[in-house]
Amino acid sequence: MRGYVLRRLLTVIPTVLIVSVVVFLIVHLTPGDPAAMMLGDDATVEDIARLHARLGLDDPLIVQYFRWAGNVLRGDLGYSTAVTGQSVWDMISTHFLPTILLAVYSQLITILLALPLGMLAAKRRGSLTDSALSVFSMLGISLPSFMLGMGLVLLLAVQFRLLPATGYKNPFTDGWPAFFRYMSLPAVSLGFIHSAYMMRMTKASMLEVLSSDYIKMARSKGTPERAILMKHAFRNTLLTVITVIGQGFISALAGAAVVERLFGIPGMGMLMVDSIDKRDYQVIQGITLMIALLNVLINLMIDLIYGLADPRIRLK
Amino acid sequence: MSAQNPKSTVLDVRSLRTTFHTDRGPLTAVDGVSFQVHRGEILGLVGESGCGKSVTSMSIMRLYDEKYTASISGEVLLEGRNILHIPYRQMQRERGKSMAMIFQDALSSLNPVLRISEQIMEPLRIHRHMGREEARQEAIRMLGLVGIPSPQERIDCYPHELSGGQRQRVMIAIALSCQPKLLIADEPTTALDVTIQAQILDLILELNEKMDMGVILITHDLAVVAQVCHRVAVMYLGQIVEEADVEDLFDHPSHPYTRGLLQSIPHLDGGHRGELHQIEGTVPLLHQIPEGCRFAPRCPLATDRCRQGTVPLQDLGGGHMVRCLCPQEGGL
Ligand SMILES: Nc1ncnc2c1ncn2[C@@H]1O[C@H](COP(=O)(O)OP(=O)(O)OP(=O)(O)O)[C@@H](O)[C@H]1O
Ligand SMILES: [Mg+2]
Repeated sequence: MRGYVLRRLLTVIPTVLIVSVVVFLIVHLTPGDPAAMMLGDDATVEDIARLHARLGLDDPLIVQYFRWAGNVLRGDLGYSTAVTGQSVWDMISTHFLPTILLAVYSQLITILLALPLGMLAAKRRGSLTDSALSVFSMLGISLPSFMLGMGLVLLLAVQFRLLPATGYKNPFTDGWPAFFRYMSLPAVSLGFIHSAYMMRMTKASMLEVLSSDYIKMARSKGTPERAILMKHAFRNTLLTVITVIGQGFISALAGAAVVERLFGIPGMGMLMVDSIDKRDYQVIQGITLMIALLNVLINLMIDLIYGLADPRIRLK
Repeated sequence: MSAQNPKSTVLDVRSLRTTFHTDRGPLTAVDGVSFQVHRGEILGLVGESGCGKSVTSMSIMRLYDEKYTASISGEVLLEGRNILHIPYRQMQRERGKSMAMIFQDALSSLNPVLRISEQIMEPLRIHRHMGREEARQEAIRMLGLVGIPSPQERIDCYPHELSGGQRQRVMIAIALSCQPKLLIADEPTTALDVTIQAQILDLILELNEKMDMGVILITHDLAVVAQVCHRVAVMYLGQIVEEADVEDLFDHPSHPYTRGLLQSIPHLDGGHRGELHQIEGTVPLLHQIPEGCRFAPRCPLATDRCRQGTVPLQDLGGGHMVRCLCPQEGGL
């Protein structure tokens, strides 16, 4: 197992290198002069040239890259070009927590909903329960998250006034109850699509596992049905579903932008949208890099969990 | 042997009939199979691929999903009690305890994510109500019994860490852990190379004598049957076409199909039997079962009479049964 972890950790290095180069290039090759943008319309050519020199924008790309990468390694992501004096790191770190919490919460709901229901559908395949769950998951897959979000707001916030329609509470300063009151609607609308997908994957994987030889063998030993499901089938089903959980996190991070907008949550998505509006390249670059690194991290964790769950992986 | 020395009957299968629910309608893969297995007896179940050997064994164990996959009728008497219609929970108390099964492919039959220890201890804990430590000691003992070297260390392996022969031994250890009255071994050696194959067969033979259990050995290797079985049932297209004590069957095969099978073995006792024989034609599909004798379309001796009406099993005496209108006499 230790060898596996080590090998997997080593593969992170080239991935991170490539990610950083791509992020750097995307921002630097986008048309538009950041210096001109910063100084506004009535800047003279000389002003722009001076700023160019100060920011090092005339240096060869490779030099710029290494300077940028060196800064990033020291935790310096540069300064916002739209909000004077704001460091990008400060902006990201304040917006980071709501997004992460939203993603984690929505994925928890997804997993807790999809895994048991998927297993139930597989166990009772062909039954009324199964058909009802199929309809439910079709609905989930075909309904965009903002539609569901708006529906939930109209019903639970506007009509019944059970939950607040918008806003965000920091669980560490305002307490968890407040957090849950504000974040449940966004988390459900963000996680619902994926829970439908995960439920289908769980069902398919469970059906395959249930028809495998080792389940027949387990039955032929007299293992009670509950142990067949929980001990023999569940872990094998999980092997497929772990990947789906990873995808869920990543797509929740991507989908957060819309939901944050809808519910007024000051997260990374919100910051990203604002920054794109303002052509704030330094911030866009910082966010893109953070999200990319987060993806690398999630994939790493998924692989490590996979190694824990499947003894066959560790050998390879 | 059973014929001279009748022992108590472990398994009595009567008119077993298994019909699969398929997209193309019902398919009857096993049609009226009856046989008995006695204590200490090894019954060989032979026949070409697709004749219904595995379906027979799976039906006896009731391992098909009776709601979605197959309907089974007839009677399966395990030590006199019909287990075909008892509820699922009650069935789970019999499986692994009074009847156990070894499957062909040990790699896919052992759970890849559970340690061997976990998988052997399971029946011990369920049926013999052992505690963890006791079950572990017994599991180690069983692994030693089936010939796994240094079982104390091996027991914590995962299935993929063992060799094919060792996995098969582990499966045998699991099946025998609660000393079942009946063991069904469905081609337990087909996936193994010849030397390991012989070792596994010896092991089954030895344990059969030691534990005095009834064994159904499914194989399409007639040489194996000749070596280890006491009785043989030959299946063709879901029916038993001939059943006899092993010497009787090899000395006086009566059904043309059995004779064809015997002629297609290279050499049984070292001597060559001349040119290798092949049974003409192929096994018909299940939804094209011919009328009359099912073997008639491929039978060199078939007459018009064979193609009309069903052919019953008839007793030739001495427990030698054959489903043929003109059974052959004498050796090959
Ligand atoms: N689950 C199933 N659904 C439909 N048909 C099946 C099913 N299982 C087996 N059959 C059919 O039943 C027939 C008998 O199959 P079975 O597996 O018993 O053959 P076998 O004698 O064990 O052959 P082999 O020597 O290849 O193992 C085959 O025609 C097969 O296609
Ligand atoms: Mg078979």
